[in-house]
Amino acid sequence: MWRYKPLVSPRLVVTRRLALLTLFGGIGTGLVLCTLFLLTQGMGLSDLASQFIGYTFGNPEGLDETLTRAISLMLVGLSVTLCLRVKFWNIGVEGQIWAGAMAATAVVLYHIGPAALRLETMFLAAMLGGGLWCGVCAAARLYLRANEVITTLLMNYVGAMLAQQLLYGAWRNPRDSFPVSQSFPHGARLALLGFGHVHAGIFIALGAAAFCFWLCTYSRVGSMAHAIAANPLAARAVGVPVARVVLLMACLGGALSGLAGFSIVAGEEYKLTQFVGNDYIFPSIVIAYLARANPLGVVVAAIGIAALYTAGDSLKAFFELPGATVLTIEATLLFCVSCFEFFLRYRLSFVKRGRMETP
Amino acid sequence: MKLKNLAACASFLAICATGVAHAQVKLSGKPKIAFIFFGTTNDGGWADAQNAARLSLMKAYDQRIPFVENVPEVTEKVEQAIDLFINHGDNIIIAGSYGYSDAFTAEAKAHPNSAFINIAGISSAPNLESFYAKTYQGWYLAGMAAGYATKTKTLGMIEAFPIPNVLWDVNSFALGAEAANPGTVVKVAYINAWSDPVKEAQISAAMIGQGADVIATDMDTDAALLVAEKAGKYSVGYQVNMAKSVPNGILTSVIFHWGKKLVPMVKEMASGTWKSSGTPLYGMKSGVVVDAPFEHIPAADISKIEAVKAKMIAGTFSPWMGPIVDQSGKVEAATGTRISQDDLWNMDYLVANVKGSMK
Repeated sequence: MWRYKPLVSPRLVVTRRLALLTLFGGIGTGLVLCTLFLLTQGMGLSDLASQFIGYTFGNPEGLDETLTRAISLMLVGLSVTLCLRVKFWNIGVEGQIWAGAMAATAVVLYHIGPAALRLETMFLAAMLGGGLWCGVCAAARLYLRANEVITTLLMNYVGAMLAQQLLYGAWRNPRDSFPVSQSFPHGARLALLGFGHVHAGIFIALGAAAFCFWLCTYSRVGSMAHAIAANPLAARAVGVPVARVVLLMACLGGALSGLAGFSIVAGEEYKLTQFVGNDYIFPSIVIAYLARANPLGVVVAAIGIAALYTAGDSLKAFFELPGATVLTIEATLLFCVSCFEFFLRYRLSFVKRGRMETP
Repeated sequence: MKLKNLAACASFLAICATGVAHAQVKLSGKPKIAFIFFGTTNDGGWADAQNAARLSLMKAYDQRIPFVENVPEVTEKVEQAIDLFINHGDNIIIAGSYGYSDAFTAEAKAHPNSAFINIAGISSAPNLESFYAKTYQGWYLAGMAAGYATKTKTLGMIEAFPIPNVLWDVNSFALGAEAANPGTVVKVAYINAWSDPVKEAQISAAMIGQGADVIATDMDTDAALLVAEKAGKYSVGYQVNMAKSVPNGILTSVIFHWGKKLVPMVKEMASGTWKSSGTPLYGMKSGVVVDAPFEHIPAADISKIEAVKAKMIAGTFSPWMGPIVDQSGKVEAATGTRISQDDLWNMDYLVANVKGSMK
């Protein structure tokens, strides 16, 4: 028989060092597993280094792609993060992107607001659209007890369908009846920064990260959110306006995804297409999770995941690996990080048999 | 008028701006080709036909030709894919999607020493050609075959989008059917996607329910034909020879041999004599579009079709010779006149024996 047996007990105190250790332990294990996986797919170590580090960061074209992609990823990562701060699971960033993108497009198509402030109006409209899309789900949870995992998820479809309805109807391009909106005029486009496709949206994303960091760490709302996340009943008992804080955080979260929609249509596509809101849900959750819901961590995680996509494109083209490779890597990382969270919540110790069993 | 003319003006202006001496594209080095596909290379249709061209180019020029699949019609994604290849040293980028047009224009401008080909695109530049096939020639003959085969005088045709280069397929199919069997009608429905097998199958079943006994697909997959085969109806395939999927009911397939044009084009590019022809249409004469062998109709009918085909190749017959009347009764081409290629690019009507709308 074993002389020792494992004992799992909940931790009462989590040190900062332990938190970092489990996070990097999870990411590290994930990376090792992914490396092994890619090696079995016929890639060499030097290929991996050149694709994942050399190309994604060391090469201007690759870095351009990474940074451009990171803009919208940062915004959706922040969106999930803010909602997570009040234990509100936002699985609906795509719906909120659609809402933001449609609102911004409506401003362009219907010439809403003064022409000189077109971009600013689009910016606000996109926040409003995304905020509403998520706010509705928060209100449904607070007042109707509807589970937000379900409602935010379903609102993705509502957003995508509404966009389709418009693109095949009122907003269809009159020039060739193709289901895309008219191209935006120059006044409705975010400026390019002179480095490939990187556009001014990057300042919006970084500004949003700084704002979210301030909101979560230094503001009153942030402290109240902390209390709500720990125990909503206790928070209410001590006078925290739980409903209002949850609603506010969810609306702000939705607004950030709405801004992602704005940055895609005004900074990258210059029109509304059927594809602008696709493939954001999974990365948004991975990013928020890898960042442990820390807004500054989101910036790093979003750039990391963007780099993964950049490398993935290259792997597809030159190593003929399937597109699912990137998803596999993302899933492996997420899985490892969440497994390591076990050690954050619980203490695993080995106790000698006998001593505790026979008092 | 407007669409095609715009493209023509743009390319004319661009040629003027760069000076006639630069009209021929000087590649940055030895020709290195790369492909971008809208679907997957084994989609049994659009991308499959283009991949066949990739394979023949590989053989002809003895080089490995990298590719990416599943690139959506999102400007940012297309540009990233192009950058990836250019950065890798590739200087001939070949793709095939209407919705890539904007991205190709931007990239052609950014990389003047690379050549760009976008099959079925609508944009052009000194180093960008968007050629397409005179698909209507193939569809007219297929329409004749369907006209000879039908007992119910009702044909069904599944379409992607109501855009000019799709509408001319329906119209020529209907004109061919009318010529072979007066009084035949063509029911048309749009999927509003280039490929959506589930919807294609549903619409095919619905058309059979409404009495259609020949189903023609203008889509990227054979889904609609499989339904027809099961119901014991005739089929007309598209893009590749679909006889393998539906051996019992296939009449013919309108198929592409893109390699016929691409192989000599790359040769010109290598010698520095290639220049963009804008947005030309290549027909049966060049072999880019042909009909697969006609089956399941009497030999006498096949020889009538072959006779029309011979006149088409000789240039003495065109499906667009008047009289052509649209659904509303408006005369689009009077007897003795012919619809011009520019007007084809602006086709926005269905001919009289088509049942269905523009939406």
